[in-house]
Amino acid sequence: MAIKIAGTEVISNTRAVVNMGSIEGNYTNFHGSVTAITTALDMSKPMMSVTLSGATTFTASNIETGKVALLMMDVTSSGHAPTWPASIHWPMGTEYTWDTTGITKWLVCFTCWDSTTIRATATGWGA
Amino acid sequence: MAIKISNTTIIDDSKAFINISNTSGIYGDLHASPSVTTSNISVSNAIQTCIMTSNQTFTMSGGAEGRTTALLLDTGTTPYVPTFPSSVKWLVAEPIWANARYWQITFLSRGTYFTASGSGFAGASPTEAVTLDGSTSFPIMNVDMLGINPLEMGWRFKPDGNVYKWQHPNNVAGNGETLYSTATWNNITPSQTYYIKASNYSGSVNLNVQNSSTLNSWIALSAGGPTREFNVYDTRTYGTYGDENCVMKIEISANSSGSPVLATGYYKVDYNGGA
Repeated sequence: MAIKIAGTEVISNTRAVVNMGSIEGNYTNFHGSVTAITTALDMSKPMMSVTLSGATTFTASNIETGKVALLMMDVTSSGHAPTWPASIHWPMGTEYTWDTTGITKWLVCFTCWDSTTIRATATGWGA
Repeated sequence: MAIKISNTTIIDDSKAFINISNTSGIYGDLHASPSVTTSNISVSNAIQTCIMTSNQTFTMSGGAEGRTTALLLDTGTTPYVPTFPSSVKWLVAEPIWANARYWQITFLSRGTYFTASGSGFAGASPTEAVTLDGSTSFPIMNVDMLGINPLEMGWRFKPDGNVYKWQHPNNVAGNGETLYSTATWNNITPSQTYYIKASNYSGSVNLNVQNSSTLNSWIALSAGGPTREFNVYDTRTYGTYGDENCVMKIEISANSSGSPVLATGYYKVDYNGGA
């Protein structure tokens, strides 16, 4: 049986916590669900993954101050080129070289500064 | 109605989960609520934003080990200079804040200290330039006259990189300190210690030694340092003197030796007398 507060479900029958006002406390084994995407970066999704099969142009949605999302991106040995929306800004104004020789896997961290600006950092690995 | 475990509320009437001893599972659209800070960074808040309106010394709090926070810092167009406590240990070295306007800084509490790293984004500040105004033929004017004896007026070169006129409020229409230029003496907040020297160049009166910073010497001028001001101070009665003026020569160098001189300017104080 779901648990409700003032008629609003807060824990569903599938044990999902929903409609939460806020949360304070500690966590241990608590991690974001991974969503496979193709071109749509959704800042409401904490962890996304994509393997590029060609040059790819991304879009971004649900941009709200303070939201943080991660993207695990594999540009493969072909070094497919991602293109990002103008809302995304890179450190010192310089986008990373995504097809750097030997680098195929990237972890990109997006942080929403306001409702229109995302600032991102990335780290690349060879394997 | 709130949900309680052993009489302790764990879900309150506003649907807030509180007093949670542990959480496990998978989350979807769950993100930190950002808070605004002006000077205190609490690692109990997951995301904090700060738009600086002046140079700011930050403090740290809520430092239980393992807690992290991200500070989204906008240093402004000036840009302003943040200062962090010694308990913050930077990755390799503290970032050079003047290199960018927007900074994303991550702090991890280790209990008694905090490890931190920062990434700078666009809006890089302009290349620092040290310049002064005025020439020997056309010094920059500051005009006033005696109101309540004595008269005091001059020029101020401040640690924010700007130049100000000074007219004591007791003068006739004395405006106190007013901003003359943000483009000079430094177009940004100084990134290093500079040295300034003031000397009398021409005119009917000289700068007053007691009411000015040290004259004829190279004295430090830097962000966080003292204002350097050079004033005329006249105790005479209005009707006992005619129009007076003083042209001061101002020089700035990056070295305490004064060599090389980066900029030279001429600033004039002009006041009317009644004789």
